[in-house]
Amino acid sequence: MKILVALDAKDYSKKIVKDVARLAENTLADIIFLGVQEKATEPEKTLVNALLKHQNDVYSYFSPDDLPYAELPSDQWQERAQGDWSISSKGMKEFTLRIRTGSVAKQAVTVAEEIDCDLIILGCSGKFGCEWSGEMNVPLRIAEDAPCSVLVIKQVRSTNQIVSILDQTVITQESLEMINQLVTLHDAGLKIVGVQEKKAAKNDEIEQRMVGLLKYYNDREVGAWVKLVDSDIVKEYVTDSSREAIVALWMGGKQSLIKKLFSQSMVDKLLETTESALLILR
Amino acid sequence: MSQQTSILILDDEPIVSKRLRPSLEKKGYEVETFTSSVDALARVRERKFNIVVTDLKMEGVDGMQFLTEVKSLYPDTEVIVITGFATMATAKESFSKGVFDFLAKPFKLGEITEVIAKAEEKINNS
Repeated sequence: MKILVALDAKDYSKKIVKDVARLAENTLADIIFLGVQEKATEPEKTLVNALLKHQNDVYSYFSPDDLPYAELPSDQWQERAQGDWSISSKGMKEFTLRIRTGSVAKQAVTVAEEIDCDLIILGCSGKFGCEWSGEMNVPLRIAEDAPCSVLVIKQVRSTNQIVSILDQTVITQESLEMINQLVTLHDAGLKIVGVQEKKAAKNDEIEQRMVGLLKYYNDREVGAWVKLVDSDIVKEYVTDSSREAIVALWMGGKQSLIKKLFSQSMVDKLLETTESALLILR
Repeated sequence: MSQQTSILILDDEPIVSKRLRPSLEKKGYEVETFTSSVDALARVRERKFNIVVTDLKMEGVDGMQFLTEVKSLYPDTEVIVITGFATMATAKESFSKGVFDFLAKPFKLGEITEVIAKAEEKINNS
């Protein structure tokens, strides 16, 4: 697994590093820390120091014998292209710090596409909605355009439940696997919620899919429950669930019912109100 | 002409082998795939594979038992673990049994083919 983490020097970034370390410890993932700065000819010291501090915090989380990453070569930033620098170590797994110039949301999506990562993680401020310093709607814009799943951590807290809102279009194997890793990480129960439309012909299909998913999880000894929710109350249901549990939204292609029900502003509102984390699955 | 590197893939989810097999065969590997660990175990008792890619959580013989048996029969076979339910404990147990690498799902095709290439390089250099 390859995880891209968008970080800066703010508290909302500092807070998620322990969760990133836990996930890295469980999955032995390749990790890329991405910092984004305004246009400059070299990496800014503040951002460099912040990324190095975050990297050190992840390394310190591991006992020395278990650390899968090698030490980063000190102060050897390579300029990959104009406004694009990186420093990397190859141990058993790879750890990379990367700094680019421009918009955070755009750069995160660009790097995610370039490195073909499996998950993007970022935090966000809870004071005035879910925002990043100096840029509007960063989590939402990343979630909208990312080529992979996106985990937005608003509050770091232990959770014993993951609520997965099932889309009626294709559910990718990658998204199921991402859910499995989070269930394992949090030792959490999984609630699979199907959304039924009134008088819709597809309701039988969604029930069948939920039964199939339940069997998938039962076969793997994962505690899972299924629930059907009417489409007209699903927004309230998700908002309520997001207060305690990690909510995973399967948002597929253009035909995605969830995408239709959860407009950009609704996802933004969820990011505002959640007291845990939101996982947008692809 | 050098001998083809043989790979056994064991995962109870057919989609995993379906994705991996064509790509690996295109790269010139000899590939056999299994969704049942019992069948895979019977096969490794019949013949040696250079590389084994195995899931951990499976019905019947689980992946840890399977890889233990593989390493016991063929210590120089390189084993790569792939798992959707990764923990540090299972990673440590896997490495203590001599696995070559441990990959958490999801992963991209490029990631596992790179690991397989490194395992092949290790075999060729030994």
